[in-house]
Amino acid sequence: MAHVLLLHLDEPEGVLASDALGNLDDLRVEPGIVAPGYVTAWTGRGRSFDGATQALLAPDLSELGTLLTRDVTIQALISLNLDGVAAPMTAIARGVNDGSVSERYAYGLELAPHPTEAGLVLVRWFWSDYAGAIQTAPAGVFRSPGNGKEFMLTATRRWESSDRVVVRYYVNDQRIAELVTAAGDISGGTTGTTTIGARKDTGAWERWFKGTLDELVVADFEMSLEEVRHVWRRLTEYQPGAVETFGALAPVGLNWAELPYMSKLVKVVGQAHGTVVAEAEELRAMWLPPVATLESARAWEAGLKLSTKPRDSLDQRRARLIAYGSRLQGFSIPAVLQAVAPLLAATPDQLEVLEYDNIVTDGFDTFDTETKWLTGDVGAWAAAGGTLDLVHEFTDDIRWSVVGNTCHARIGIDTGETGRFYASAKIAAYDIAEDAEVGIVVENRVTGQRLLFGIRNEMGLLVLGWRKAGGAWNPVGGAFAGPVWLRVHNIVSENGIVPANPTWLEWSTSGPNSGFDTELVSGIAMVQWVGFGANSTAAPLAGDTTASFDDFLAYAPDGLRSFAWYIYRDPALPGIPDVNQAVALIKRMKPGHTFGGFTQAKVLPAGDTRDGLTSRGPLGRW
Amino acid sequence: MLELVDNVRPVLAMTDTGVALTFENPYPAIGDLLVVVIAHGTDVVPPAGWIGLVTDTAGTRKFDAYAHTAADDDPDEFVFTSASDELQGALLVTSEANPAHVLEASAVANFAGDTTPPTPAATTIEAVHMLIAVWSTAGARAITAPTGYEMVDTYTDDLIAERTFAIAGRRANVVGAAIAQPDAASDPAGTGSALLLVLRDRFPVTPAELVDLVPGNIGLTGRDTRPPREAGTPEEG
Repeated sequence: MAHVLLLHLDEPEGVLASDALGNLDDLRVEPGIVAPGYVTAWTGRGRSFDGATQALLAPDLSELGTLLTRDVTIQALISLNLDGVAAPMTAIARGVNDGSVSERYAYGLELAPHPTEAGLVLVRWFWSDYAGAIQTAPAGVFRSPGNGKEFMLTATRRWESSDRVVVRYYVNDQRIAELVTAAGDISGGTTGTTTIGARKDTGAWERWFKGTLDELVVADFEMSLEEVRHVWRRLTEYQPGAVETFGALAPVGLNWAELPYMSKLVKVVGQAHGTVVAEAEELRAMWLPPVATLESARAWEAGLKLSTKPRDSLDQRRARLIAYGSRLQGFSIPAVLQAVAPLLAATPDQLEVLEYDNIVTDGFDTFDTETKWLTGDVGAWAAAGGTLDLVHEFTDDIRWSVVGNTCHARIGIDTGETGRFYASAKIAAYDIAEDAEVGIVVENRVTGQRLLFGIRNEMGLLVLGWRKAGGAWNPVGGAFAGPVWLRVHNIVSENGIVPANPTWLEWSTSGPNSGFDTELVSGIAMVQWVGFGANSTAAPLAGDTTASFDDFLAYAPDGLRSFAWYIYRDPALPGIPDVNQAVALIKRMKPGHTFGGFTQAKVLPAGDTRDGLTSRGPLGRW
Repeated sequence: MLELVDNVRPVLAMTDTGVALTFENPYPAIGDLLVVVIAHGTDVVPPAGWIGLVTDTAGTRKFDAYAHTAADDDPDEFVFTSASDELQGALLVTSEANPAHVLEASAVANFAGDTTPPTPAATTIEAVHMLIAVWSTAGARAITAPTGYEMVDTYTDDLIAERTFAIAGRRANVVGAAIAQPDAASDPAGTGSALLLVLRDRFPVTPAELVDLVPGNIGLTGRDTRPPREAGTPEEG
């Protein structure tokens, strides 16, 4: 963050105007232009331009020069004279556009009378692109305060990409416009010439400024609204206030302002004092992230070890700092998205946070096999009329002993270290071939253990019961008809002698919340999948076997599912996400007890959430 | 500078005399300008205190736009009524709009069976003005805002006949007459009308004059903190 040009334009008559920072040679005339007049201005002296013949130019002097092809701020104390002005007026241009690359306009600022509304003034940037064509940015508009009335004008340019440049304009301490142009190819060379009061284009001087230039500064950063306001307050409050304060020390009755020596002393001391006050006030008012300058923001980032991109704008840095700070108030998804979005080449509304719950329900209005359910190779599954319908056709072979565990629709369930789970569903309708059975299935596919709790056709008679893989059918309850509500869980324990892997089986033909009978059985250890399935002890099926399931619920009270979340970015979005930086920032911002990550896929192969990889868990399927 | 501060999605309901589109008062800052855009097929009656910005019947679907300056005695709800129609709309809260000349221009375009519903061309004399684009289609459609526009809201209603409404906005950023705008996207193809409003920025600011009873301020300050350039640094451009 540096200023590259500072013109006070307060030299006495006959002395060339100079750059206080030493980057520009003394400003002089050449054939075709004459020197602007020396006048009294707000800071003491300034230069008056007649809008027809007067301008100044100078080449770069120092090796650092004045070339800026990205971010720029131009700030000036000026007054205008719009009498007879119809064409744009150039305040400053860096480059004389003589056809060489080095003299292309790297930046320029011009003002123009509004084409249709009298009294209004347009202010706008211009620069050359890589082909040498002059690009004019969209203009801000303000109302002229009147001829000869001095005010502060600030223009900022923020280069974001080759097709996006943000320009802002301010008069005094008010922002009058923030606009975007796609002209992001900005040219210019290190040996360019700077002109004041007009611009030179292919050898001809044009766009003459009419008014007074009192002071002008050019900086290589985008000055923020707060910084602009602070300059304004220094000029109009702190310094004049300090001058008055010091002047009040003069003996009573003495008008120090009328005494040349005293007035100079009071002004120098007072304004110096005011400058100190302004600096202190700037530190006080502008160190917090929401209003930090670029310099302060970088200091915050270094201290908090936040990852950023070099070209992040001040707005992005502030937003990230605020998002980081707001995490202390709790987990704030909008804050995380705000902070991470720029790193992922996206806007917050283009990103999605994937969150999960330990409870999974499904009313089967649709059958989501993309992110929720897996189905086996045998049998047809479809959602119709609010139920999940299974169809096995006559002559299908669905024996577990032969086709394995493919006769199913299942979802993954993370029971955590306790292995506790709960599953319930309704078998709404069924037509079961002899020796076949359908129902809720819970299983561990690593150990190959599986338990089915449902309805079997036992020699033409429908019976409720359960079977473990490799085991016999165990009937429960008595005769029944119509829909059946089933529950399988191991959450409730019972004192006394219990079977291994105690599992409660509950069934009701009355409804979902009443009339349940129970039986405690020896189930399977560490259930990992729950869903629906079918089995047969005869092959092929003696007839079609169909079942309709509904009101599915699976619950794992001790699972880690609810602690995992991911920021999802659609891979079809344009741009290249900086995944490493984003993940590093997510890790710093997430609540410590959660697992947070980034993904461009909503379904990934399974793994373990606790080792920091995204390979298992909510997104996972075996 | 004109900004979109907030938006409110309405509730559509049958009444004894027709349908009512009700917006909950967002209670913005006093003086902020509320703008309501309604897509309809029959005449709309606005509540008291709302001025009409535009009534455009040129399209297949008609549009009305109204404005109201927020006041401290505003009711909790703003209700727009119609004899009988599937009304849809949005309420926008704007800050620093021009209260005397809210609307600079408007335009309408129709589309039929189109996966890229057009955005009407805009005429604007100031880059800082704001463009508000509205699309109203039959059926449930996923509407995506055109490039450069930010979607404010989109939803589907089905009180009388299923319809989809979408509203998006952007800074004009350019000036000129009938500047072509990029198309939106509809999935599946939509049939309906589009409206474009150009909202004017506040009255241009008049900067106060720098006045000092004792002229001779230090003026602007600055320092060059750039490190020295290394020899052989390539020329930019």
